[in-house]
Amino acid sequence: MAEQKEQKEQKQEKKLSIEELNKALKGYIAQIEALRAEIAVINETITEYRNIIKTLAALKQLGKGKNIIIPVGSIAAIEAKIEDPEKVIITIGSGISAELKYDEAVAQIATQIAALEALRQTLEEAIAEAYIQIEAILQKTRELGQEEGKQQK
Amino acid sequence: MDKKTIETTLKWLETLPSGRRLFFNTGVLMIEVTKEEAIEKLKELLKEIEEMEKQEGKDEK
Repeated sequence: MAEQKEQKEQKQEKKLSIEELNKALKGYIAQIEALRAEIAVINETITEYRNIIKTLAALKQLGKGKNIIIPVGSIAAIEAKIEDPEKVIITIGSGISAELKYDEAVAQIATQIAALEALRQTLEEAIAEAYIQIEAILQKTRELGQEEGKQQK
Repeated sequence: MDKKTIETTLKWLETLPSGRRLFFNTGVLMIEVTKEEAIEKLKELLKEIEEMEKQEGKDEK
């Protein structure tokens, strides 16, 4: 009788343990999804910043006085003249923008790209770490399953 | 907008060489401002945030 009770308790403990592992597993999966979403946003921003550098270079190459089309919203555009491609207005944060020289502006954007790439690297490392944890949890779950199988036999 | 971002912008403004044009983005358009006006604007924002934090602290109590 006491033996049966002990076995029942052990079984319940294992069940709880598997439940805990599943919970942890779900947690790591959610973490990976969140990190991936963040990486996607970072990738989009990096692409946008690289396009800005390309556009600034193209405008500089076109030179002063050339006509360009500037989009105003998604369905309208106006024609404008390049006043001075050597002067670039860059947002520096908190609603403030500053006029920088072309080289300074490009350097500033490149610095921001580098910072984003470093952040992406950190997030990718966090994903790799989460995968290691997932693998460990799966291994533990398999071991518990095998133990349970042996006991049932 | 958080305190840290504003403080970083303020530091950045201080290192900016003189004679550079500055603009304040209203959300609709950009208004040209002097360096002093930009610093003042940011300090006002900082003060607003600090007051909000104080108020939130009082509310929590």
